[in-house]
Amino acid sequence: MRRSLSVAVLLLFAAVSAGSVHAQGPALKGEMAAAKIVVDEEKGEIVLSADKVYPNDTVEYTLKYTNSGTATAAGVDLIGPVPVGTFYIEETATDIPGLMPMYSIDQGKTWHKAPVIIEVARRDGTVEKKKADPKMITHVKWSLAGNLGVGEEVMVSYRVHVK
Amino acid sequence: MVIGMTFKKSAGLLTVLAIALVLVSSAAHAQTPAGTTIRNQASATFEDLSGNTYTATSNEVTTIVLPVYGVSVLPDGTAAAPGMVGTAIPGQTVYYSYNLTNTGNDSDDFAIEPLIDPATTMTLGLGDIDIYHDVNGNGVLDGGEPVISAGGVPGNFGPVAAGTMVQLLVEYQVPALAAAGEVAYVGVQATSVGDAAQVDTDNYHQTDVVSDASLTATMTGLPAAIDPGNVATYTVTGQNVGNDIANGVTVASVGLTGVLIYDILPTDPSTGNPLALSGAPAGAPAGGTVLYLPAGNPTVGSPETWAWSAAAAAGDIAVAYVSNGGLAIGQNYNFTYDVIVPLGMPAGIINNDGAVAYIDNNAGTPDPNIVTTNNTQIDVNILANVLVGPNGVPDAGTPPLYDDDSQAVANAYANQTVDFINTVRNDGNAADEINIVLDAGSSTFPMGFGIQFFRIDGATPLNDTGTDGIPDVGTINPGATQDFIVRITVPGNAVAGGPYLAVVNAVSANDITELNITTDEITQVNPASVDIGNYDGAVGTDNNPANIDTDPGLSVDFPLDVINIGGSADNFGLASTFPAGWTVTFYLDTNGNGILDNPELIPIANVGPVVAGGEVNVIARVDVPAGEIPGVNPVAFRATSANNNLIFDEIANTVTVLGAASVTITPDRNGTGTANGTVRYQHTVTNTGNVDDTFMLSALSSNAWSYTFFDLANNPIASVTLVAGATQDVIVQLSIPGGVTVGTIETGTITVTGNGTGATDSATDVTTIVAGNLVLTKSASPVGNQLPGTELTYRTDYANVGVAALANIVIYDAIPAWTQYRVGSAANGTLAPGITAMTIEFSDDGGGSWAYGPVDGGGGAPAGFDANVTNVRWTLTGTLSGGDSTADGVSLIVRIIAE
Repeated sequence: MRRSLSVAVLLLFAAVSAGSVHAQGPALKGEMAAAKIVVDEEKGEIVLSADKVYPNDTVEYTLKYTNSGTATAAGVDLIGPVPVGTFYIEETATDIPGLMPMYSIDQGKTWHKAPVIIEVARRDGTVEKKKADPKMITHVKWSLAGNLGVGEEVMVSYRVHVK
Repeated sequence: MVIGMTFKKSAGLLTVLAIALVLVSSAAHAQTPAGTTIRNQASATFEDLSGNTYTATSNEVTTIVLPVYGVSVLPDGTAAAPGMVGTAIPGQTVYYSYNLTNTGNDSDDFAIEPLIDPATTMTLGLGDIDIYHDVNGNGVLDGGEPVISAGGVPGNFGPVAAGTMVQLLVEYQVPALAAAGEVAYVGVQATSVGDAAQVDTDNYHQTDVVSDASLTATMTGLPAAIDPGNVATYTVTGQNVGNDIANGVTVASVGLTGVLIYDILPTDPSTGNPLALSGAPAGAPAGGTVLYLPAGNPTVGSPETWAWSAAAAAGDIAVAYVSNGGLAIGQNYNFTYDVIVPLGMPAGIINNDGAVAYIDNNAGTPDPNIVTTNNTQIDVNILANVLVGPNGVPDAGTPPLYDDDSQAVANAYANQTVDFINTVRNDGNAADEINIVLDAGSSTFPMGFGIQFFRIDGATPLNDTGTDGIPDVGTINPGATQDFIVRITVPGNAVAGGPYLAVVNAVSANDITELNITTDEITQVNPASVDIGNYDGAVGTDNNPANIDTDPGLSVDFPLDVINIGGSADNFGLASTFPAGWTVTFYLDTNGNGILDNPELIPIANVGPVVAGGEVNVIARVDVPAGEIPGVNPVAFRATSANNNLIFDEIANTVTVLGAASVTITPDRNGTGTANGTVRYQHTVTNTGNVDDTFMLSALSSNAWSYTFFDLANNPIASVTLVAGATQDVIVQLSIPGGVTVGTIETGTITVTGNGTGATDSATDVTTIVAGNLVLTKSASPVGNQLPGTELTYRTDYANVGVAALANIVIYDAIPAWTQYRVGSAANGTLAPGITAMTIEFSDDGGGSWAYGPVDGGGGAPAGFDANVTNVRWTLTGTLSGGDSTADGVSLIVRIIAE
């Protein structure tokens, strides 16, 4: 599992912004960023703009959500889709205590821990359970353990391969 | 025509494909086209502490896919391992069919040129080789098909769309003087114009010069493009272009010998089943027999060894025609058969090639000879067919249109979101990006309602996964379904109404004229609603008016229930109406006991969020001012919906103010008097009750002396009549009898008693009988009411109104409350006759001691003042004879505190 600092959860206490979607209550403000990841033999991973990519490139999506409301948010789920034209790269989703990733292979209808197991029906009527191809993953979700207080933010990331 | 190739297509074993229960995108292995915009948008769901759920989406990030280039030419081959092997007699023109595929993700041109391997022994130069575009892919050079590379000169060909395959024909003539046994290794090289580094060069075939039978074999497939459900016709034709007879093979399973023309039938990729034969296959030369290979038989080894049958059966996997004997020099042959392209067959290319088997006349070469035809392609047209319906029932509705299906939610409430799950199914034969569009013209939701489309996760909005700018559910494989959510947001200020319809169209991106309709309905929208009533200690409330009795000047508490009888969470503003001068304050009765407890003494102006059907308890504290007259007073409490401020409820209660009689007479007085003299004291009588009354004046003397009463105009009075809250000053005059001993103390108890109500109060006047008669007269300047900060001068004149002289006179004065002594302001004034000097002393402890010296700013007073000074006294030296006085007595200055 990937545990780099760059994707660690940041719980920062900050001033509450004046604006709020909900006049009284929590309000999450979400930002998503895409970065192209290339590997340099000497420097290791280099982060580049993902405005333009080639097939087979790696793109990292980073989600940052901030509670800009006036009350604590509970039951926070963060969802990152795997967009069309890409597939999820296994074991690249942020996976740290309190933010364990779940995966969907049906557009977010159901969620599973890794590895996702599917049942394959054979023609003889038997059913085989096997690990799903990571390329089947359509969404990644993190359920934040605990609440997100006013001014706190949470950040996660995952990577996809451009087909 | 292709001759003598021993390259065979795959054995065609029926692969039993496991069917995954979970559907996967068919595009998983396709390269993303250049120019594609990859869009991504995160989402989050969260709850507030009342359990209301919210969704927040991020910005959308976009990434554009750049072009990459690639090329593939098949079959691969080298001189050591040629991809195709053919035979030819001297002077024969040979043709080899190649497939070129643009493996990049963008349209590209390709430079095409022939290659000759040095191992070639045939006298052949690059200038002898031409390469054509086999436009119809029939493996035959037809009239009009363009040359790409002529005489060995490289030629450009294109553009070829990404992922597209085109067919090439390599043509050259075996020299007429070539000898049997000579060999040529000829290849095709293709170079991407977009990226010259992308080259495919190892594509050699082998031509052997023979002096024997040599069969050509080509296949055509018609029509070139076909709709599912129709019949396609394949024809294999050929000729013995050799210089010897082509001998037949013996098909053991049916006991027949002849040239065997055969084809492993193409399959439907959606089922894996072979395309079914239609009608009667026919072959030439006449006299031969049509053979069928039943399902389940292997297709390995030489074809004449397969388990052919002369009888057709469902599921046949191959078809053949065996001639009646061999083929003479120059003799033609053909074999034609029809197949059904099944309904629902996926769009795309049907690749097919056939082969012919014969035995040559050279005992030294392996038998049989297999000649494979070119690959022929039939394009299965895209047929778009989209269905959308309620959750799990995309084919709901009345055939054939299926447009009249709907689903309904009976009730929705203000400030609520309602999710409809809809399911779309691709009944077409090609992966389709199915757009979801709201038919605004047919939808009936009023302004202010929100209609949004989400993926089935309920958090990610549908976006355009393609390039048409229309939100879609993604690309769906044929037969696959995809759920999505139509989310209706009912505004907080929604009024009662309905039914309301959201008419949703699912539109094929493959064919924008193909759409299907489903309708999501909210039958009844209910507005926000609230019920406020009197606390009943149970679920529900008491809407009967309540009354509380109270005396003036007290507070009463109305415990209330506020119930959200709307269908969604709401906040409620609290307001009240009450008589002028009253105040009402709301508090949250957190423990719901109907009593305002100390921890609950935090005023509130609203309460919430209150979940649908939820009840909260509040307490309205009503402050009744003192002096309020008796009577019934209306007090109403209102709860107003924050979702819709036009929605409120009110409970109308009353407060009964009781009659409360009360009177005061103030202050207590002290003075001195002399025998046969009189002393006057001024008192203030106030009707502090809420009832008008006449108050009788009376006095009780400790010495049974006489008291009389006067108003300020010196008129004798026995009573005062005061309305509630009114005040009047009265003068109480004590008459001291003659001969009273000096030092006698008289205590007069002055009483006022309400004539009607009996309310009563008393003040006490204490008079000390003195020998002389020192009269002190105190005045203040300026007179009347003054603002804070004003400096007041208090002056005390003194006079001896008796006969005997007075000595050891000490005059005391106190600094009044809310004032501060001006340092240095105590003055002697003009000394009366007989008074020769004075000593001024100060006390800071109420007269307990007289050693204090005033200081500027003492006790935190402003500059020039001392807040510590409490009393001042003047000790007079000398005697004051009877009748002597001064009208300019001792004085001091104080300042009314303003800070």
